[in-house]
Amino acid sequence: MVGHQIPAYFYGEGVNDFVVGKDIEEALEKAKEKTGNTSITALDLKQDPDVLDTWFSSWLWPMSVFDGINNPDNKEVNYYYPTNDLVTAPEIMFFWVARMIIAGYEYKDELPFKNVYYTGIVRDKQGRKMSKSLGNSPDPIELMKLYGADGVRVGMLMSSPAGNDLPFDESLCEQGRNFSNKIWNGFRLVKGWEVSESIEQPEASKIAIKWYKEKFQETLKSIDTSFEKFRISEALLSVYKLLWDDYSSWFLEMIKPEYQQPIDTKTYTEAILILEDNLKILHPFMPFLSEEIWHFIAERTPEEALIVAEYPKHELINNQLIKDFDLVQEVVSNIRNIRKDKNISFKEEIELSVVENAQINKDFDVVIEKLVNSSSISYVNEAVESALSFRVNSNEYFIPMKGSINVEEEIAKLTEELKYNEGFLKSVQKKLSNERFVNNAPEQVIANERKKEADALAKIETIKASLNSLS
Amino acid sequence: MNIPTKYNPNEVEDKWYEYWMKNNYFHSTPNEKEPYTIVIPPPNVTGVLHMGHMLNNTIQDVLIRRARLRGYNACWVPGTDHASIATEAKVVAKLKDEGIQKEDLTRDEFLGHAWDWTHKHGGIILDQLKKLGASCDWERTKFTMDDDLSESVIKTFLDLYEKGLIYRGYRMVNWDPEAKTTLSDEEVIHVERTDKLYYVKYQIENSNEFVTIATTRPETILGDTAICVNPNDERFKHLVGKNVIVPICNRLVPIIEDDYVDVEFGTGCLKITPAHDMNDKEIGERHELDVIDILNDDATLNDYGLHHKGKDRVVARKDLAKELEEMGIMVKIEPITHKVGTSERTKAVIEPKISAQWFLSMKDLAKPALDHVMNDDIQFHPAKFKNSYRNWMENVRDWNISRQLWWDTRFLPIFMVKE
Repeated sequence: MVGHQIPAYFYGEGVNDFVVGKDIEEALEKAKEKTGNTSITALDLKQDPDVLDTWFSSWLWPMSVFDGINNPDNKEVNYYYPTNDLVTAPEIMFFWVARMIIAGYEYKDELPFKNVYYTGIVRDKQGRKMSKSLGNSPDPIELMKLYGADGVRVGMLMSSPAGNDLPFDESLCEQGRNFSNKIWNGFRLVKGWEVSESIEQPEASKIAIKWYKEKFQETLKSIDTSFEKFRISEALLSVYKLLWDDYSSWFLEMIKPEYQQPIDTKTYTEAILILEDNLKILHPFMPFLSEEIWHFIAERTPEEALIVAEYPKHELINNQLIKDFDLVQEVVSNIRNIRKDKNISFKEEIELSVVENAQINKDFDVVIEKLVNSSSISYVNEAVESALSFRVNSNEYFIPMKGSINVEEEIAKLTEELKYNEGFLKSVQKKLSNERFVNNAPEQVIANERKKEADALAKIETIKASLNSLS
Repeated sequence: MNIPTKYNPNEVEDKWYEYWMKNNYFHSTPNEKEPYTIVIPPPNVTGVLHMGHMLNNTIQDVLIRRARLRGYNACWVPGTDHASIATEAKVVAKLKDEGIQKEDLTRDEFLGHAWDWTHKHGGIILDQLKKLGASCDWERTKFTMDDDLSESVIKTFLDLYEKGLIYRGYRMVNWDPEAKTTLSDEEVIHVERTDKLYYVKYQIENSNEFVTIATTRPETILGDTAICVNPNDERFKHLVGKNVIVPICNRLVPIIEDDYVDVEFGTGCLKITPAHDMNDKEIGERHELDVIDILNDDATLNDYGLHHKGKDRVVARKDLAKELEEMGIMVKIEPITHKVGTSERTKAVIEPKISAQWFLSMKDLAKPALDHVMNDDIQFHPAKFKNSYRNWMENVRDWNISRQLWWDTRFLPIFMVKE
C-alpha cells in the first residue's frame, strides 16, 4: 500500500527467478540478459507485491531530506550534513538511530549527527505510559489553550532530565503559565515608572545593576554548561530562578523608586537593557511571551525582532560581588522574618547595628537600608542591649527595640515560650532515657525523637539569647 | 503604548507565529555562516500530536532557537513518514465505515483511497506543531513518499543489492488464516487452552525399531523433514544418522541431534516441521533441512495433504489422528494445557508460516556505526544508552526489510527441497 514496493521483478516461479531494477524497463533488460531469452516482455514480469519497511526509508532521512542520496555532492547536503543534534525517544534507538548511523557511514562515510539526545518517556502521575486506550493523556492542543504554548513548553521541560521517565503533571504547565504572568507583571512594573532626567542615580541602584549583571553572567555560563551536557531542564531552571528570584524579587525591588516617584534615566535605561538580555535567554524556552514584550519595549523592524537578536556575550565575572550579595539576601530575609514575627509594619523604620566579625562589603548597605526600611546601619563593637538579634556568617545584627515593641510583653511572651519548650524537652528526654523504649522502638521512631530533642535545644538557646538582649 | 494588564497567550501566540512566518525567519539556505541543523524525527503523516511529540519538539525548538540567537545558520527540517502499517489500518477502518471491504478493491483502488486519506489528514500534526511554536523551515517539509525520497530508497535498495548485501531469505510470520493477514508479534494474544497431545510412532528405515514423538498438531506430520534428539540422550544414540519413515506420506527423513531437545520432555524425540513452527525452523536452518509447507492461505491442506487435501487444518487434525489409530501407530492420546497464539482481531489460532522475505546483511555495515558511537564521535545523551547500543550492534541480526500487505499477501506453497 502506501509504501515503497520492492523493486524486484519475477519472470518465473522459481525462488531465484527475479531481477532487481529501478523500473520495469531496466528490469526487462536485466531479465533478458539473465535468462538469455530476448522474447521476454514487460507483461511477463511481475513486481514483488511486498513493500519495504518504513525504517528503510527513514534510515536515510538526514541525507535524503537534502537529496544527498540522489545527488551525493550537492551544495545543500555538503553544507547541512552532518547535522548537529538528533532528539528522539530511546525506544527507537535500534529501529532508527542505529540505522541512520549505519546509512551515514555507508553513503557519506560520515556521521549523520554529532549528538543524540534521548528524551524521557512521558508518563502519567501514576507512572503509566500515556496512551489512547488508557485515556490518560491530555490533549496537547487543549493544554496550550489553557496555559499558553509557552506555559506548556515550560511545563514539559520542568521535570524531564534526558533519558528518564517524565511524570507529567498538569500543574507544571500551570507553573509555566504563572511564570509568564510573573515576567509580564515585572515588565509592566518597569514600563509603568515615570522617568525623570533630573534625578540622580541612587547608590542602591548603581550597586544593584552591577550585581545583577554579574549574576546574569553567572547564569549565562551555567546555562551554557547545561546545554553542553544536554541538561535542558537544568538550563530552564537556571533561567527560571534568575528571572523569578534574582530579577523580580531582588533586582526590581532594589531599583524600584519610592511610591509614585519617578525613576532616574540612567537606572531606567540600564533596567531596560537588562530586561532585553533576560528576554534573549528566555526566548528559546518561551518564544511568544519574550517576543511580545520585546516589541512592547520599543518599535522594532523585522530585522530587529527578538527571534534573530544577538545572544548575550560572555564577560568576566566578579564572583566576590555575588558572594557578598548572598549575605545581603540573608540579612534582608532575617529582618523580614523579624518584622513578620513581631508584627512590625514595613512603614516603621528600624535601626540596624552590626558587629562586624567578618569583613562586609558596605557598598550594599544602601541596598539593605532600602529593602528593610532601615534609617541607617551602624557598625558597633559590642552586642546591643535590648535588641532583637540574628547572625549571618560570623557577623551579629541587632535591631534595638525602641517603641516598636513592648519590651515587657516581649519578655513575658518569650518566657512563656521558654517554659513550654523546656517542658517539651523534658518529656522527650524522658522517653529517650527509657531503655525499654530505646531498645524496642523502630529506628525511625528513635531518630525522630532525637531530632525533636535537638530542635528543642536549639529553640531554647535562641529564646535565651533573645531574652538576654532584652533585659 | 497601551500594555494590557493581563497577558493573553492565545492571541499573542497566533500573532507572533504569523509574524515569524511572514518574515521568513525559519527559512535557511546555505551561506557563509556555520550551520546548525536538526532533522525532525518524522511523525506519522496521519498522526495527531501527543505528549511525547510535545516534549520532543519543545526540546528541538529550544535548541534551534538558541542556535539562531547565537548566530548559527539554524535549519530545522520538518516532515512526516508513511509508517505504512498504521496508515493502512486507519484506511481500512474508514472504508469499513463506508461499507467497503478491502477484499473488493484492487491494489490501485486501495492506494487511491489511501492517498485520499493521507491528503485529507496528512499534515494535521505539522499544523499542530506550529501551535507549539516550532520554528521549522516549512519550505523544506518532506514526506517519506515524496518522489525524490522514494527515488533515494529505491536507489539504495539497488545499490545494496548490487553489493550483495540484500538477499532473499525465509522467515516465520504470524499468519491469521481467517483475516488472511500477517500479524506483528504485538497483535498475537497467547491464551491458555486444553488440547490433545498425540503420541505417534515412526518406523526406522530397514528396521523393526520405532521412535515415538508427541504432537498437538498431527496434520503437520505431513510436513516433517527430520526427527531430532538430544546428543546426550543415550536412548537414541544408536539411531542418529539413520532415517525414519514419516507415516502416511512415507517420506524418508533423517534422525538428527540438537541441544534444543529437552531429554526430559515428552518422549525425548522431536518431530521437526520447519515450515510450521518457529523453533523447528531454526533447527531446520542449523541442519539445512528441507522446508515443506502443507497449508494454503486459508489454513486448508495443499497438495502435500495428499488425500486430506482441501480439508481445514482442524478437520484434517481429527481425520489424521483417526487414520494413525487405524494404522496402529497411535501410542496414546493425552490432554495437555498449553498456550496458543491467537489473533487479537479475529481470535483465530495463529498459524506460524514461513514466508519469503528480503533481508539486509548487517554485520559489516554495523561495524563503523558501532565504533563511532563507542569512541564518542557521535555522543549519546545520556551516555548510559551506549551499553544497550553496543549490545545490539555486536549481536546485530540481519534486517528483514520487506513487509506484507495484508490484503495482498500471497503465500505460494514453498518447495525448498534440496536436490
